[in-house]
Amino acid sequence: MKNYLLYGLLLIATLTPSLLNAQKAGDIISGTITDKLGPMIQVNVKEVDASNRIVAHCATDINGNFSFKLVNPANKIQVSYVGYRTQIIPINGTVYTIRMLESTQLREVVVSSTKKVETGGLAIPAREISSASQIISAKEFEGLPVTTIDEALQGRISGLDIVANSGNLGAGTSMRLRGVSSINGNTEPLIVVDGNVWETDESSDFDYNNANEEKFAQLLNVNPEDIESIAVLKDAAATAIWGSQGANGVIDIKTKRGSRGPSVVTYSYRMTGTTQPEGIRLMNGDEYTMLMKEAYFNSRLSDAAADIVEFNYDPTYSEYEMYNNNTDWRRAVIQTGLQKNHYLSVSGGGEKANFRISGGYDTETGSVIGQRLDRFSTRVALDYFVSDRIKIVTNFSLTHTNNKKNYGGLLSLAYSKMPNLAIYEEDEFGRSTGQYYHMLANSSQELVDQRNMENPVALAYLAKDNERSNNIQPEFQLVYNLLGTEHDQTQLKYEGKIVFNIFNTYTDRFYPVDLITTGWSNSSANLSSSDNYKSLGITTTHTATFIPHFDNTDHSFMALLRGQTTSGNSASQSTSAYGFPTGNITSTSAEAILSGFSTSAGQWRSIYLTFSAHYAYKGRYMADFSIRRDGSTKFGPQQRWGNFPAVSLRWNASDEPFMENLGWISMLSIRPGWGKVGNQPGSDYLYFSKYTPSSTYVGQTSIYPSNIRLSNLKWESKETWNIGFDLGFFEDMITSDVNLYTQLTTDLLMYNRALPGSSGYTALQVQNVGSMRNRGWEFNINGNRLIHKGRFSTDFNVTFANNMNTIIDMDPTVLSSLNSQFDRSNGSYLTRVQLNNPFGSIYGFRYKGVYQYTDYTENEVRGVSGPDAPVVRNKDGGVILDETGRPKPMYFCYGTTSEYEFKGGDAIYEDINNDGNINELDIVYLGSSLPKITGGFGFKLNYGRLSWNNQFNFRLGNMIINSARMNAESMYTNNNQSKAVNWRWRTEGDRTSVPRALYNYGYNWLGSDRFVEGGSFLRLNYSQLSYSFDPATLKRFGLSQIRLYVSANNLFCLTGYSGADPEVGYGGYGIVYDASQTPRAKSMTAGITIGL
Amino acid sequence: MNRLQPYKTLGLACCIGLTLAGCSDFLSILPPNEIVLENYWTAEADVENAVIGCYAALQSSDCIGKMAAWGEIRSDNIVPGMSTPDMETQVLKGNLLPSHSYSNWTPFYQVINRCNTVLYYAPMVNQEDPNYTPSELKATVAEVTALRNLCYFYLIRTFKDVPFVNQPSIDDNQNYRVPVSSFDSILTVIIDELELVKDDAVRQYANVTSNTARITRYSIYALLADMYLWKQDYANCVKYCDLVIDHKIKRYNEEKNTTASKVKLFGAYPLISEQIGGNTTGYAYNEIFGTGHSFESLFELDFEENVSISNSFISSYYGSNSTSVGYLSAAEFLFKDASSGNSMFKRTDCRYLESMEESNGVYAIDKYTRLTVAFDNSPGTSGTTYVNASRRSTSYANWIIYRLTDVMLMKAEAEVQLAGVVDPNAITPEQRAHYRTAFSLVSSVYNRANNIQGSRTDTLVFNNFANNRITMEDLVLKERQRELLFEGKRWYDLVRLARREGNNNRLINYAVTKYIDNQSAMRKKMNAPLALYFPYSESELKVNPYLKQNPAYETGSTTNITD
Repeated sequence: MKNYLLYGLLLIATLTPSLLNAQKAGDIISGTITDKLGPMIQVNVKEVDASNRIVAHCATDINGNFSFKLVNPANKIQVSYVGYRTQIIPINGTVYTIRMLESTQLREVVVSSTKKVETGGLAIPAREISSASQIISAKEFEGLPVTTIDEALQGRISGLDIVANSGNLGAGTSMRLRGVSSINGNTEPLIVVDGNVWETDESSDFDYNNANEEKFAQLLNVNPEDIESIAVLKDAAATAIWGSQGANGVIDIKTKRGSRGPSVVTYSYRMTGTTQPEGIRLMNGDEYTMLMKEAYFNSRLSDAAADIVEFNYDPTYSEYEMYNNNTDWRRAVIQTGLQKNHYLSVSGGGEKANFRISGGYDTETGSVIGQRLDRFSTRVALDYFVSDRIKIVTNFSLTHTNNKKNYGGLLSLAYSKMPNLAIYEEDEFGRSTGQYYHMLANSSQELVDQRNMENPVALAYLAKDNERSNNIQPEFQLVYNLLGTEHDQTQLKYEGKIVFNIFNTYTDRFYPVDLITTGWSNSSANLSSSDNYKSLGITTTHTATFIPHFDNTDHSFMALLRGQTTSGNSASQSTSAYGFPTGNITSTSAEAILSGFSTSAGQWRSIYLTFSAHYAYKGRYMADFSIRRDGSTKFGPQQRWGNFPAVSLRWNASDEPFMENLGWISMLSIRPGWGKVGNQPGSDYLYFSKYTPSSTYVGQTSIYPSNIRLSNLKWESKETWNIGFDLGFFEDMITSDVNLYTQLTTDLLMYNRALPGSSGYTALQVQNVGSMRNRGWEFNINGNRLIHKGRFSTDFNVTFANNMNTIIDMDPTVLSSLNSQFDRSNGSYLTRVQLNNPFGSIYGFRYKGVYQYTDYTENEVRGVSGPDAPVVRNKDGGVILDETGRPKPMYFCYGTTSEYEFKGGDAIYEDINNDGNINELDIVYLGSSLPKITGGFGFKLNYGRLSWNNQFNFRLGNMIINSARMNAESMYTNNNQSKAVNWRWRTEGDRTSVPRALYNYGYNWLGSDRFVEGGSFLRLNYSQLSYSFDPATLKRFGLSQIRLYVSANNLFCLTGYSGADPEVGYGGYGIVYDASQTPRAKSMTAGITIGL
Repeated sequence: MNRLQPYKTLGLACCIGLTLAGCSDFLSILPPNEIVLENYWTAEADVENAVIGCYAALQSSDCIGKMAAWGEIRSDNIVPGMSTPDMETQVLKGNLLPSHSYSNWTPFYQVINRCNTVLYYAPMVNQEDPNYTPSELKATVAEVTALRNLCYFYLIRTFKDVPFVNQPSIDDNQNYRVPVSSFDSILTVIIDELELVKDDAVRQYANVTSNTARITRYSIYALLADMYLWKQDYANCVKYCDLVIDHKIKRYNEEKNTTASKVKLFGAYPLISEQIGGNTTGYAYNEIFGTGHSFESLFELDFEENVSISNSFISSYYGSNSTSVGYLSAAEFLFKDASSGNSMFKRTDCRYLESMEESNGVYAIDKYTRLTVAFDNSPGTSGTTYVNASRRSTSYANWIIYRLTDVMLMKAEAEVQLAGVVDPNAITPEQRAHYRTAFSLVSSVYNRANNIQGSRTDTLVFNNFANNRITMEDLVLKERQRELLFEGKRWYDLVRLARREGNNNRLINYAVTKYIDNQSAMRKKMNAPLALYFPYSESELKVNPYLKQNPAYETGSTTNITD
C-alpha cells in the first residue's frame, strides 16, 4: 500500500542530509549547461522540493554558467529549456556540468487513457456511468450561427424539448426536459457553467410560464465558442447532487481550458444574413376598405354606420391622400438582418501553468427593423501548478451586452394596422413627404383603436428600448492533493472555490409624443423610463474527493463530500418621467414630470451538502450513491432542510466473459436508478407573517398584515425511476442509449393558490396541492464513421422521445379555481385541468362551416332561401318545428345576456346535444398541445477535408391554437385581415367556409376547431458545408489551421400548420397559443477559422 | 487503510463544521421592507398604526366603490353615464353576474381581517407596554369592533347571508372555508358586540379631523341606530338616534356663539344653513360635501389633497374636473323639469342643483365632484337658479358614511313604524304623536334645503300625510332619497322596505321608474325574492365548497364538458 508514502517522504527529508553530509543549506551550487552546439543561455535551473515546488531559481548566462544558493540539500535540481528534455538531478555536489538533450530525440510515448466524464462531482469513466445523461462535444456545433448554445441543442438531446420563443433578437428559448412537472413553478432546467450555478433572486410574483429572459441572459453570458462540451443530466440519479436546484434536469456546460503545449492562436469570423419567412398574407388597402364597409353594415344593417370617411375614398376629405394607399406594413418593418461574430482565443501551457484567453465580439441586427444586439465577451482561464500537490485555478469572465429592442411588437402592429393608411405623410399629389404619418385626433371615433396603434415604422426609429447588461464572474480555486498524486496511489484531494457573480442591467426606454396624437397632457407623452438592477452573489464551495487505491485492481471506489454556501443581494431602482420638451432629451434626470419612482432590494442564501460515491467491480458492476441536503431560507425552521438521495446501478453485460464471442457488441449495459429531487418556492420570507407600511390616513401612517404565513409549506418532491440501456456495436462505431422513466412529483407547489375572500386575502402565496406523474421513454443512436471508404465517411445521430403527463391527485377546489368558466365570448378556449388527464388539453366548439341562407326552405330557392339555414335539427338531421309549424331558429346561449340568433353567413357550430342552443354544453375536447414525439436527427458526410453536416428536428402529434390566424380572420375589429377572408360569405346563397364580416357583433369566431391546427413539423435546422485546409500546406505560411464553412439555418420546415412557424412556446397549463410572434428567421452564414 | 481513517474523518468534520456551524442563523433572513409578526405588537404605536391600517383598507377605492355601488347603482337614482364599462352597464340592466367584481366581497373582508388582527393582538400589547393603558385598549377595541361590524353590516345588506369570521387569518393551518351565517344571526351578533363596547369609544380625539374621520362614540350610536332599524327594533333605533341628535344639540348650544352664523335651528334641530346672508345659497353643500368634516358629520372617510390616495370612485363614476359625466349619471325624473317643479324636487329645493347638472342631454352627478356651489335665491324669483360652481381639480372628496340628517330620517322612519297599524279614520293620539315627531324631523331637513329662512312659504303640510302609514312612509323615503341622493343609501332603503313588507312589490315600483323601456322585463328580474341581494362571486364559490349560490342567480345549467 502506498499509504506509507507520507512516512517515506518524512524519512527521506530527515535522513538524507545526515547520510550524504556533503552539502548544507546556504552552499553555493554552480555549473555549466551545454548542448551539442555549446553553452546554452537562459536555461532555467531550479531547486525543487519533493512535491516539485520551486524553492530557488536562476538562469544561465551567456557562457552557460549558473549559480544559486542552496536552500535544502534534500531537494533536487531541475533543468529545463523549451525544446529540450527536462532533467532532474539529485544534489550531491556543488559544481555540475549538464548536457541537455533535444526533446525530439526522445522516443514517442504512447498515452493510453480512459474517457472520463465529470458532471458536477466525481470523474467517472464513461463506461461506468449509471445515470441517465447525454453528452455532446461543442465541436459538433462549430461554426453554427447561434448566439446561445441552446439553439444548437435543438433536436440533439433526447427528451429535451427546446422551443424558440420568437425570432426577436434576444428572445431566448424555453426548454422542457422530460415534460412539464410543475403547475406554475419554474420548469426550466438548471444551467451550470463550470460547476457554477447562476443564483439570483426572484420576486414573489415571478411568472415562470413566461419568463425566459433571465435564463437567456444567463446563456447569453457564455459564448458558444468558449464551450468545450455540454452534458444534459436527466434522471434524478444524475441530478440528485444538484438537489433542489436540479429538479427540472441540469444542463452542465464545460468551457475550454488551456493545455500544455505551444501557444495556439485561433481567430474566427462569421457572417450571417437572416430573413423573415412570410406568415399570413394580408389584405391590401382596397380589399380592406371593402371588407370594413361590409362589416359595419352587416352588424348594424345601416348605411350610416358604414359611412366612415377614412374608408370612403372621398377626394374632398382633407386626409384623402393618407387613406387611399395599399401599404404592406409587414414589408415595411422587415429587413435582412446581419450578424457578424468575431472570436479570438489564445491558449497554451507549460509545466507550471496552462492558460486560455478568449474574446468575442458580436454585432447583430434583426430581421425586423430597429433591433440591434452587441455583445462583447471575454473569458480567461488560468491553471497554475504551484507544485505537484497544489494547483491554483482562476477563471474570469466578462460579458457586456447591449440589446436595442423595439419598443413594442412591430410585427403584431404591422399585422393589425389598416393597409389603406400611408406610412409617410403625403402632399396633395400623393407624394410622400418623408414625415411619419400618425392618424389625427379628429379621425373617426370608430377607428379609435387604429388611432391608438403607433405607426410601426415610426415606432422602430423614434422610440427606444435599450437594455444593457454586464456580467462579471471571477472565480478562484485552490486544489490540494493531501495524499498521493499518481493513479496508483490513494488520493485525497481538497478543492476550495469561491465564485463571485456580479450582474448589472440597465434599461432605458423612451416613448416620443409624436407616436400617438393624444397631446402633451397624456402621461405617455415623451415618456422616459430607466431601470437598473444590480446583484452580487458569492458562492463558496469546499470539496473533498477520496479515491483509495486497492492492490486488487478489480475494485475501484471514489467518494466526494462537498459543502457549499451561497449568499447574495440585489437592488433595483426605476424612474419614469414624462413631458420632456423634446425627444432629444431622454434622460430621466432632466426636468420633466416625474411619474414613477421605486426601489427594491433582495437577498438570498442557501447551504448545500453533498455526498456521492461510486464503486465499480471489475469495471462490470457499478453502484452509485449520492445524497444531498439542502438548507433553504424559503421555509420555516421545521421544513428548512430537504434530503435528496439517489441510487443507481449498472451492469456492463458486454464485458462478461460469456459475451466475448460476440465481438461485434462492444457495449451492452443496463442501468436501473432511483432518486429523489425537490423544488423550493421562488420567494423568500414566506414563513413570516409580515406587516407592511401603507398609505396614510388623517396624517398617520398605517401598517397592515400583508400575508398569511406558510407554516405548512413543504418541499415539492420529485421521485424518478429510470431504467436505461447502453448499446455499442462494432467497436462503438454505433452507440445507442434508451431510457424509460417514471417521475412522480408530489406536494406540487402552486403559486397564488386562491383562498376564499372571507379570509381577507385572495390567495396563499404558495401551497402544496397535489401530485403529477410523467412517464416516458427516450431513444438516442449515434453512428461514428459508419461508412468508411477511402476518404469518404459518414456520421449520423437520431434522437426521439415521448412524455406522458398525468395529474393524479389534486384538491377539487384547486382544480375548479384553475378551470375557467365559459365566458360566452369570441376567441376564448376553455382550459381544463382534470384528474387523470394531462395538461395542455384544448376544449372548444366544432366548426361546421357557414350557413348559406338565413331563411329555411326544404328546397333551395336560389338567392333567397335554402335547406342550409340556421334551424334546429334532431339527431337524424330532421328539422324541428315549433307549435306553429315553422322551423325553430338556432340560438347562441338562449336566455342569457349573450343571446344571439344565427343568420345566413354566420358560423355553424355543431349542436352536440341537438337542443337548438349553442352553449357550454356543446363544447368538446379538441386535442392536446403536448407532442406525442419530439426529437431530431442529423447526418454528416465527410470526404477528405470536406464535410457536410445536416441536422433536423421534429415534433409530432401536437395541436396549436392559431390565435394569429383567428385574429386575422375574425372580421370583428378594425384590424387588417388575412387574404383568406376574401372568400367570406357576402350574400344569401354564397357557399363558402368563411363567415360574413360583422364588426363587433355576432359569434363568428368562438373558440372552435377552426383555429386549432396540427403542429407537427420537420425542420431542417441547419445544413453546413465546411472545408479544412491541409496543415502541411499551411505550415509553409506559418499557419496551423484554416477552416471555411457555409451554412443555412432553418432552410425549410415541412408542416401542415398554416401559421408562420409551428414552433411555439408553451403557455399556461401547457396550452400552446400562437399569437403571431416574430417567427424564427431563416439565415445563411459564411465563416472562417484561422489558427496561428 | 486504517491510517487514512483519521484524515477522512478530519476532512468530513472540517466540511461539516464549516457549513453547519451557524446554519440556522445563516438561513434566517428577514425582509428588508417589512416587519415580521415576531417583532411587531410590542408598543402602543404598533396598535395605533394597525388601527389606521383598518381605515386605510376601508378607504381603498375598491371598498368605497362597493359601498357606493351596492347602495346606489341598482336604485332608481342611477342610469348609465359616459363610456360606462360593460360590467356597470350590465348591472344597470339588471344583469348581475357572479363573475362581476361587484359580487366580490374580498375588500370588506380585508378590513374585517385587519380589525380581527388588532382585536387579537392589542390585549397582548397592553401587557407588554405600560404606556398602553387598559382604557386605551378598551377604546381601541370599541373603535375596531365598530369598523368591523360596519363592514359586516354592509355585507349582509348586500348579500344577505355571509361567512362570519372573527379570528384573524395568520397561518395556513387555519380553516378558511367558512359556511355562511344568516342575516339575522349576524345582525344580532354585531349589535350585541357593539352594545358591549359602545361606551368605551373615544368621544373626542386630539386631532379635530379625527372626530369625524375616525369612529367615535356617536358614530357607533348612529351605526347602532341603523342596525336596529334593519332589525325592526324601532324603539332602540329611536333611542340611539336621540343620543346622536342630543349630542349635536348640546354641541350647538355650546358653540352657538361662535357658529351661530352657520348652524341654525330648523325646528328643534341644528343644521347648517344653506344661506348665510345675502341671496346666495349652497353654504350647507360647501360645508358638508365641499370642505368636509362639517358640524353635521358623524363618520366620513377622509381624503386629503396632495396625498397619493385619492377617492377615484368619485372621479371615474360621478365625474371630475376633466370629465363632466362619469360612468354613471342621474335618472331623468330627478332633474328634468325640476326648475318648474317635478315629483321629486320643488323648484326651490337647493339639492337638485347641488347634486346634478345637465350636460348634453345627460344629467351629470355633481354631488362630491363639486368643491363649491352658489345659487341665487333672491326673494321674488320663482325658484333657485344656478350662479356658479367649481369642481375639484383632484379627487379628494371625503366619503360620508353617517351624518346628522341621515340619523334624523332614520328616527323618522322608526317613528312611523312605531305607530304600528293605523286606521286612517281613527288615528290614536299616540300614533299621531309618532307621526308628528316623524314629520317634524322630515320637515326640518326639507326646510333647510328649501330655504325657509329666505322667507319662502313652499313647505310641507302635516295633514297632507298624517292619515296614512303609506303616505308617511313615502314621505320619509322620498326625503331620504332627496337628502341622501348618490350617497350609497337609496338601494338599501328600498331593500329595507322590501324586507319589512315581506315582498318586493313596492321596491320594484320605485326601482323601475328610471327605466324608459323594458320595465316589464326589469320587474320580472327583480321579482325573485332574493334578487334584492347580489350573487356570490364565482371565484368565491370555486374555492369555498360550503357556499351555495343565491337561488335568484342559479342559471340552472352548470358548465359541463362533453368529451
